[in-house]
Amino acid sequence: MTIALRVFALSMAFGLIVSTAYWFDTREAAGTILIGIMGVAFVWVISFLLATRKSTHYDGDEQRLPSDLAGEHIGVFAAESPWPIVLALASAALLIGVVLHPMLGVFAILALFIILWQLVREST
Amino acid sequence: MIGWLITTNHKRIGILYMVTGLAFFCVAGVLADVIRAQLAVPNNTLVSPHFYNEAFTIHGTAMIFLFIAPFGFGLANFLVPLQIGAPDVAFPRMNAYSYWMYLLGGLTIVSGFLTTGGASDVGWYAYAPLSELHVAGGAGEDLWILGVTLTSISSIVTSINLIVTILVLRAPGMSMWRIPIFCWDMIATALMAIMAFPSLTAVQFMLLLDRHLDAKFFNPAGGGDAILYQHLWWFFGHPEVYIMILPMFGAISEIIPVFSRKPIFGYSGLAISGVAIAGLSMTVWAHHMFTTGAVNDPFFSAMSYAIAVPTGIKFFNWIGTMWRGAISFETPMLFSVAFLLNFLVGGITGVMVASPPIDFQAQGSYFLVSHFHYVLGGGSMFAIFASLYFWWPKIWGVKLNERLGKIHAWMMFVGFNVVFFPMMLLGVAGMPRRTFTYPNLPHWGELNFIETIGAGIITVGIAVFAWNILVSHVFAHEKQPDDPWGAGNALEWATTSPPPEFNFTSLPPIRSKRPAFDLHYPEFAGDSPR
Repeated sequence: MTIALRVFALSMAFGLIVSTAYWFDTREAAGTILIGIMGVAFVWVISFLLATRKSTHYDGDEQRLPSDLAGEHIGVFAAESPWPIVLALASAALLIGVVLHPMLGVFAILALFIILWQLVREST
Repeated sequence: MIGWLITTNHKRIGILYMVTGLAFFCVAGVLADVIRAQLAVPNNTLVSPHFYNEAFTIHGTAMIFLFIAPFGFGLANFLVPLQIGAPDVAFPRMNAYSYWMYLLGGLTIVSGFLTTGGASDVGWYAYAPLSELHVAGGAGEDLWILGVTLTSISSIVTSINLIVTILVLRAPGMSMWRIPIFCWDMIATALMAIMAFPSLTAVQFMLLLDRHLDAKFFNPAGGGDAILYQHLWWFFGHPEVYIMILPMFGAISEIIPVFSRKPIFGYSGLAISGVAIAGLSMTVWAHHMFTTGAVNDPFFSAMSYAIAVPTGIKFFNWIGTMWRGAISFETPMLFSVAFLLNFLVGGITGVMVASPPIDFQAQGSYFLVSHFHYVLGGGSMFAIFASLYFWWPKIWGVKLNERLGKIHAWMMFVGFNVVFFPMMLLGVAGMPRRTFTYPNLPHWGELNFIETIGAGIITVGIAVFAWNILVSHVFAHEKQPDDPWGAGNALEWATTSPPPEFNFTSLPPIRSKRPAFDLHYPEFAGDSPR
């Protein structure tokens, strides 16, 4: 995980340094905020990774041979679920409904609650 | 059929992405042919000016939002878990959700053609105030904004999924310094997408608020700022170029070593340069805005030049991989070499327009159109075809016909350059982009006519590809082995073609960057640093 941490840390440093340099060079707010957000976002990612460092374990960082860990033995993965497509339809209906047909948006909000409830049920 | 609708398997979702992308590519291609037919001769009136504007707007939108970028995500969906030795992506349901959002977004954009005012006709970046309600009042513009927003959400979701998958689900032994370059480039792509697409989503919401609640974000008369739209758009728009090209850099990095019969040259350079390109690409957006006079030209020019360095590292590493290799020119390699040549032209012209004095001359001309087509058409599109031929046996268990593949590759290469090289000359001669028609100025008619012939050659080339798919599948009797090319490196070549539901029945030991090669050629196997 140290490699990923380094990638994120370098990205964070890059974002913060460039946004600072950009501000002193241009005094232009929009660009400074856009680049600055990039740096600040990585602060959050790095903080999370550091906070969970000791409690997380990644197989990829292990030396042991994987021949007994192939296929379905690695973990349980949902092969099918009807809810992603329904959730996408409801999301699209919500967005399009808000702009073009408010009643469609209202129905979409109701549908979203039901779908999210079903998704949580299915996942647990 | 129901199985495909409710699937959460990464391979099926990857296939859905790629097939849908190719369908939208056909839509964009037909519109490109309409554009070329209209421009074939001076003072032509084959289509109306309004439809011409719709055609180039939806052509650009479809190629960028619905074909090239989603194809990269689709290829990654299929390949990444296989390459890192995982049974699926980290969040399979979220993965399916992102695909359906992309499809619905695409259909929403294209459905603008069915409205009375027609589809969006203000260009693929929909600059305010051109896209405000008092100028573009039709429902087609609203559908365009909504569709783009849906695809934007899809890209953010799938990017989160890919990053978590690569960081967390690697098989034992598959350290970060052993993952294929394609995976490194997908990390860089996904990081860019997560940072850039929220800006797109935000600016489209602001535009909707302007259009329907008179928010005046981009209306100077109401205290707004039209330049703010350009900042927010291009903060997404420039990284989007790399979101389209970086996955293809990754694909090329997988293909070239196989047909050069050598390990990839400069692995760490290729990996780091991808991340460097991602970082730098977030800081160059305003080179699209030099001519507004409202941005710091030297800053953005310098940052744009800087991108040439990591891009050059990749380019030299590909050449280094081929250097003194036992090169064979099967179809994927032909497309890869064509990619290198085309992308070189696109890259060099890109360095040229990073210079503000040249950009002031080229802005709004066909020179710029030629430049970005050499990058995205000659680069990304050629790499997409290289990928299709290369991974087709792995995806479907069927190898595409080599003879037809080579005809396809040559037709694409010749056709592409017949279209876009004269276009560069026309740009230098001052022909403006997005013009409905043009006067009969010296050589303009001849050069445009040559371009239209080139578009015809490309179209026939695509038809050959379609025919190849049909013929190859109808006459496919030979079962493809795990590694049909004979020198595959990454882990996908260590499983069956096509792979089983959870990808591997047994994983080989991963002791180097080339686990499949080590498995098939144990006499040459060796450990590499973790």
